[in-house]
Amino acid sequence: MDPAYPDALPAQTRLHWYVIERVLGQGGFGITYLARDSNLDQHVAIKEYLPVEFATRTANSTIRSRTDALRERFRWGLERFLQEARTLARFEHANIVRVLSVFEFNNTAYMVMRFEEGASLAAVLDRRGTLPEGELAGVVLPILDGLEQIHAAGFIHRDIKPDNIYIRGNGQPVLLDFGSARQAAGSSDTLTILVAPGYAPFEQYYSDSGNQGPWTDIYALAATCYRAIAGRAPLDAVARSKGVLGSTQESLTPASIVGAGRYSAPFLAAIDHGLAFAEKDRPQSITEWRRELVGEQPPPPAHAAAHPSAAMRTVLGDATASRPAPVPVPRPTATRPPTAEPAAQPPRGWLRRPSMVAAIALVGGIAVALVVGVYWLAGWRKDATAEISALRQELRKDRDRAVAKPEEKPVRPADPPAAAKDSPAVDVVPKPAPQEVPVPEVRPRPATVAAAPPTKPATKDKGAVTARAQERPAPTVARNEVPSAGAASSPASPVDAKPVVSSVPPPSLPPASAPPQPASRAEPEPAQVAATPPKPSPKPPEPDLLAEARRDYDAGRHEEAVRKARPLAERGNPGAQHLLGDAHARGRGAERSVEEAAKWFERAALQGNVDAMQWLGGHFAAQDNRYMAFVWYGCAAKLGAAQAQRARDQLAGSLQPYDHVTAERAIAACVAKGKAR
Amino acid sequence: MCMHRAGIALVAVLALAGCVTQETRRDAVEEINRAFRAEYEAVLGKRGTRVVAAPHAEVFDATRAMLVRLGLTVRQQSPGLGLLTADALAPRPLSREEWERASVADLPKARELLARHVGALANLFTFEPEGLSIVINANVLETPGGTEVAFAMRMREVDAPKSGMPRREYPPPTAVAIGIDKLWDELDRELRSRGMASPRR
Repeated sequence: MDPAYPDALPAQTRLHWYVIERVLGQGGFGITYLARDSNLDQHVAIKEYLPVEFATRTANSTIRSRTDALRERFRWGLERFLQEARTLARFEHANIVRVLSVFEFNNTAYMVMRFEEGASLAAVLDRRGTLPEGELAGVVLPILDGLEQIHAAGFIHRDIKPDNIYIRGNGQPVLLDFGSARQAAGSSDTLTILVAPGYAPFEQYYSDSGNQGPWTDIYALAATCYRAIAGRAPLDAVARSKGVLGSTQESLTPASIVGAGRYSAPFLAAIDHGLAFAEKDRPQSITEWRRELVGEQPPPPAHAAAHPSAAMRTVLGDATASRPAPVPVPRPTATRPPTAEPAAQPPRGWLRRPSMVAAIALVGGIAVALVVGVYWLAGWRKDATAEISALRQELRKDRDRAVAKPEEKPVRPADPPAAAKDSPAVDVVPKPAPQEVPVPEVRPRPATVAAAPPTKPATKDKGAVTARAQERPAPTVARNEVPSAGAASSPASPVDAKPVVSSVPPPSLPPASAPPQPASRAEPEPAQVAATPPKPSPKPPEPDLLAEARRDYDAGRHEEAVRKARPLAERGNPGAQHLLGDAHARGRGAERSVEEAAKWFERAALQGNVDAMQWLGGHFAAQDNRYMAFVWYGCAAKLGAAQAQRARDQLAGSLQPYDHVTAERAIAACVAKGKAR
Repeated sequence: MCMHRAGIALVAVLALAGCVTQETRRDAVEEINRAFRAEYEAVLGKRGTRVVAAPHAEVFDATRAMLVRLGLTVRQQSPGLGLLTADALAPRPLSREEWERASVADLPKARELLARHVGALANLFTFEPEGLSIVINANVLETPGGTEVAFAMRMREVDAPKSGMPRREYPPPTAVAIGIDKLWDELDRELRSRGMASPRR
């Protein structure tokens, strides 16, 4: 028995003609094994239904409910598990997990699935932080195709998140782990294990699934895209609800701000539309959303998530009204108003007076309101916010329980390491390196990665399509890269796709056969060039070394590129600084470190590199520091980047008036520095 | 007799409080925000910016060190641009006593504003530091005369308020004034310990 999985079946256990080899992962509802089909002599993945909350394994390997009271729930979940398997078995889609068989054994059920090598999207994002638009679309669009079939059959996934999207060795994504079993447990008190915080829309926090539909999966998939853009999951829907209801001003920073300058505007707008808080404000079908994602159809102009204030308005105006009744929370009731006198008691002297009688009547009439008032003063608001708070408390407990189990913690690329976050700034801030001779930037940003790095073949025992280890990941996780759908990888924006005044041609361009990249990655910082005509430099800009470094970088020789670029960057070459920033941001040829990336991007930005400014804008927006995001986007906007201007404008409303005064001063200083160089 | 009447009046007040809608509460807090904003901007306009006759990098470093010493955590920074964002749970960087002092000074006005919307319930309003963090934004910019330092001080909710009232945007004006002065005093001390001149208005 694997000591890491005490509930698991031991290796070599036979389930009919399947022989268990090892555990791939365990979640709250089951264990997934790698097994060998001894008939066909091939590997399969087998998911065993074992909801640890209410079932356990006995000495003879069978599963039984923990108590008699839980038996019904266990059986109900088991039925759903079987039903899910049978439903999934009907689908034969390249991007939906292939179910080969299902059977009952050991008083539980087993779903046999095709075993495929690869890595979860979560693992890919942990490693790379974000995905460029081309690659992200290469993951999402095929999943949409599969999902469309599922929805057409009247089925909803209900648990889409990066952990449940697997990237095969050939780069094809596959959606796994449907949420029926979770739904089956919905009657329990453990709601949080039913939903993935950050990825689940608000309607999933209610046990009533009547208002769930394709829009529920669309929200989750949009949240997955957000994670790939921002480097972190979006704000949890319950936290968003607080802002929506006005008790706080928490709001989701829209993708159109977080990703401005790095992704195309229509793509970001579609994601924001998918992330609209109220279900009716989201696209209602996959077809509709796909058209928005690929730019065939613009989202509604005032969709909820496009702007925090808009989101607030939308939901305050509509969603709360249209939302189904929330989970009931026991309300204090005035069963016996405290001021009521027993009828049989003779009236006292003062009570005989008409005015006193009227006063008592008044008191009696408002007794219910009194109780409500008292509770309100005590912080017991019995409106929707209180209900949500109560629910949230409940959920938090469950979440804590789930988190208490060993879990693969995703690494947030945009976040500094915990130590750096909490330690004094001295530890965090890089000392500004001396900039000896600032070299005029000719082509500061690495261009398109024309030849994508070859996909590394996964080793056979690394990862499996069902290796979803929500609570306890399997010890080995494949680390395949998502193959580039045409390459493109460095952060750039459509606004950069302007005519370029450059003496150096792009070292490489995407192959003609490559799919179109909505956010062109090919062009370097034109706005800056337009704003500041190249000045004659006393020193040549070391074009050969920089160009070589870029060529290496584009060709996937990242370490070589970083080695060449570093001395140039140290000497103040903004193009090399940008390349180093990109290398650190993505962990390509250099240690993945947001701090290092920010340091290099900042140095490039302070020399007027518009791309670097936009990266910093997105970086700070992702950390919800709207002030700094505003400043960096403002700098880029001042130098002519139109998309940065839009992001800046969107952020403007969330700043306090006095912040504008100081921010504008910072922007002016930044632009002056950039222009001076 | 009087006791009875007072009791009835209190009951009526509490009952009415229970009838206050979320919209009314929001309006009330917005009124406070508007009033406090004006005072906040006046305080910062008057005391928020100073110039130090010292190199930018050194002033930035001193500012950062000063914030840390006051118990704030530097969350984000951009040394090249000269931006620092630091925060701490309220009342920090003020002490409890300073926060209380600010409350004594500003509560009457806040309650008066609130009373227009929620009546006698306003008397139960307090400037609770619980559930709030204070965020300091520092801008350290190069200027021809040296380095300009500007502070802004705002509040952020980290936990839902017990009162259920919508969030306030601005700390009490007196707290802002005390806090900003404290930042300057501490920066002055830090600069002097490094052999640099004091900040001047």
